[in-house]
Amino acid sequence: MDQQTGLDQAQRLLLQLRKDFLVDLPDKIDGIESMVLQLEQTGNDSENFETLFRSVHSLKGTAGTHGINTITFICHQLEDVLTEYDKGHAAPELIDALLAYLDLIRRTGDIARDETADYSEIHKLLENIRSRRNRGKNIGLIVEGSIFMSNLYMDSIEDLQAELVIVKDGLDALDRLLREKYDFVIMGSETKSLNGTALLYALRAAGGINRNIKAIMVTSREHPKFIEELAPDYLLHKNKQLSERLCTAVTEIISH
Amino acid sequence: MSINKLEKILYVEDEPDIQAVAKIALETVGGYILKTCSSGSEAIASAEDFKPDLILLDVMMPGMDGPTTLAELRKLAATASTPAMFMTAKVQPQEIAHFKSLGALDVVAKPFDPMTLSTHIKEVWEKHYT
Repeated sequence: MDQQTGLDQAQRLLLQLRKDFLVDLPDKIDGIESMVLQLEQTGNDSENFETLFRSVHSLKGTAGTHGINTITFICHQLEDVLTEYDKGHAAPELIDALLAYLDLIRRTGDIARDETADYSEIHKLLENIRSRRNRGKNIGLIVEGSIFMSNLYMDSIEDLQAELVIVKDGLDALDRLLREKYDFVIMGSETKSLNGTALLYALRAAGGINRNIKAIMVTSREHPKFIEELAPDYLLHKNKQLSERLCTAVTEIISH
Repeated sequence: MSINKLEKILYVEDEPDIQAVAKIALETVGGYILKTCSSGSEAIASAEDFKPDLILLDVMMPGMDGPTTLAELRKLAATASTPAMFMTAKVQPQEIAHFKSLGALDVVAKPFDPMTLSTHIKEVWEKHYT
């Protein structure tokens, strides 16, 4: 078989696998939904919970392999909710959120059958679910590759009633910030893949939901330079006062 | 095992849907001979007969995970020094460094592109042997 024939055959086989995945998807979602509905009885310390978590994780990976990344994004948020549940924050609202995400996956599967699929409506609905989950909460994103530094940030603001999400990589952070609403971002200036300055510039330029997010940059450089209109809202240095100044900055942000 | 020639891949992945895609990526596109195992224990049972040139392991699997499976495969004569690669969604630099410290040549990010997976593996292989 020549190379092009082989590639063509591979494309046809992959397309068929994708179609099969979409045909089987409703049954998979029904199965996951049954496990979610059992959560109130079985709790997080159970085989049901472990099977549920693994099922969502598998779905996330399989959907991504078939190029249906919107399902991957939804599963990512599903995993966040399950992680919250696992920490003992079991609440009816969490079950409602899980069921809403599963409905969204069903809708995404319907859209994905169309070759000209437009997922923009799904992304809006996804952000609505996330916003409802986080209503009344201050949500901060920490972008920091060092475990020591991210622990320091968390310890500094642990009394301030803010939910924190941590990512280690600038590109991952940008992906999140373009899709999910946050109240503030704490970024190390020297993060991998996309440093803090580049991340901030990209965010301001993108014009998305976090375009005007309050940005706190932490740096070890004495006099970092920024384009004026793209400078962070707070520039903090890695010194003995960092923890206190970070606490002050976040307090100011969330009190407005 | 043929030194410098990559023909046979022992592939360990528990998720059937991903196995099916990888099979197309590695057999149809890449032309490799693939032995797919759904668990670490299945891989250990198959390794001596199959004698792979490369071991490709998913990291997160129920029961025996990828790194544990590789450690066990290293105890077998057929796979004691067989080059290995991990497949995982965890591809931060420090995570890749960790997997390489376990003996992996490289890490394949999941989800992978089935049309380019075999090219990536070939490039890693050739870099390792030149």
